[in-house]
Amino acid sequence: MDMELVVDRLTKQYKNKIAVDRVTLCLQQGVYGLLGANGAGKTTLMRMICGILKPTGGTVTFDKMDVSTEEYRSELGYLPQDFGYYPEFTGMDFLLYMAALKGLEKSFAKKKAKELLELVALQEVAKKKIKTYSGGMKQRLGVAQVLLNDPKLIILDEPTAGLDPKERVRFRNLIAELGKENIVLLSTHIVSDIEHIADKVLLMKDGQLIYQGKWEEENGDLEEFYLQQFGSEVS
Amino acid sequence: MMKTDIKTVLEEAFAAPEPTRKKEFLTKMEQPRISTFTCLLSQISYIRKRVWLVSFLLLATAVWSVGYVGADCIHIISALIPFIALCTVTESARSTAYGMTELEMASRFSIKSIMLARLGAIGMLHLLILCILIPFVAKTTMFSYLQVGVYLSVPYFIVSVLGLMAVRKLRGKEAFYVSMGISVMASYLNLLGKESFPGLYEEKRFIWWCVALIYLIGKTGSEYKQAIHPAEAQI
Repeated sequence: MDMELVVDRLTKQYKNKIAVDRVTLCLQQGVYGLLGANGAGKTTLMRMICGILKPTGGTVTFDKMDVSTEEYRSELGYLPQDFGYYPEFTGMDFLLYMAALKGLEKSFAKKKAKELLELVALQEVAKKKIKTYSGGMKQRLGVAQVLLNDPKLIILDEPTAGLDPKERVRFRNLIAELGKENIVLLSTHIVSDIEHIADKVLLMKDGQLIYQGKWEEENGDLEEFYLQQFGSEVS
Repeated sequence: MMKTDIKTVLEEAFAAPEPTRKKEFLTKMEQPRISTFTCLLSQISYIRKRVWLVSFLLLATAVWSVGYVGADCIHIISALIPFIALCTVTESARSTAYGMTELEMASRFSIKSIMLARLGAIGMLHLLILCILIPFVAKTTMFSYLQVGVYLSVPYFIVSVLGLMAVRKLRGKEAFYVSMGISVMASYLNLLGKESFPGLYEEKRFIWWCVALIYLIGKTGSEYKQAIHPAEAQI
């Protein structure tokens, strides 16, 4: 069945700044890379798509389910840019806690958590406290929690931050696989991540989408275009 | 016996076909889910053990003081109550303090329900503690059950209101320390009350205690609403 995320004139305005300015998107199955400099509005857009932030205007629906509904959140997997953990949690505790919040039955959640810890190569440290994990390990744990409820809509905010090159390649392969059957929207500063795995590119500047679509060879080098657009903001 | 032999022979003669499209089949199956009630009930297990421990220790101390201090126990118990209230305040701020808010907000079950479940469970515990203390204190002092209930509830709600305000305005560990400071101050003032305010528990002043309690209950409700509202994605 074809799935569709529809974002219609989504806007977020603060007192003296428009963080997201009438963004309209229609995403189907595949991997979408959201590129933009710091302050472009990527995280704000993602938060509104995840239902964490109330928009000033516009709507977000997934397969006609509004973002405010429990059904929408049932289909959602979200990895924030920065996330914490309760200090007493081990890796397994964290996944079981998130599984409970996602409404998964306990015995199923245990099996799923074990599978995902193997997928992200954390099975050896599953019973260790998260505070002993490195940054990369924490990030991999974050990726694991995204997949607990087999989401159809996967939103990843700077997912490769803190990952070493080997982990980044592994992550790209995972995302490419997920994109075959789900909608994956990932934001990043790393242009090569987008080039390698994104089917389509969304470029964001000052709260607006300045480009959306496939990045073809005739468009030139994506990184050059990115630097041209964001110039001094990047350097 | 015969049937087992035939079964063994058949197994040896014919290999089972390899599963095809196993993943597709599995993804079509619905994940076993828990009800909202089960999820909310499971939240009780995520309340920190120290909350239960502190509450019961303070209860034990309060009961002990009734036996050994006599009529002055009302001052001692009133001085312990702020620390019981502190448990609720710190639990309400836990998600924000440990950076779990975004992950919790993007999950299937609304964070409002989850917070209400946790705080409701702690509230029931504290109500039970109060119900246990009231007859003990009333027996030792000259006060009625109603009077004891009001005298012990007022310091609880003072700390709740001020603590929740602190948690709402401050971030991270700072909020915890300020809330703790409020509890210590309230406790100290209660201990001082006997010497500094000798007429504090006079019959003629009881009406003002009741007015204060009603105001504080309303204010606590309002503070909890504000604490939960921004956490509820403002949606």
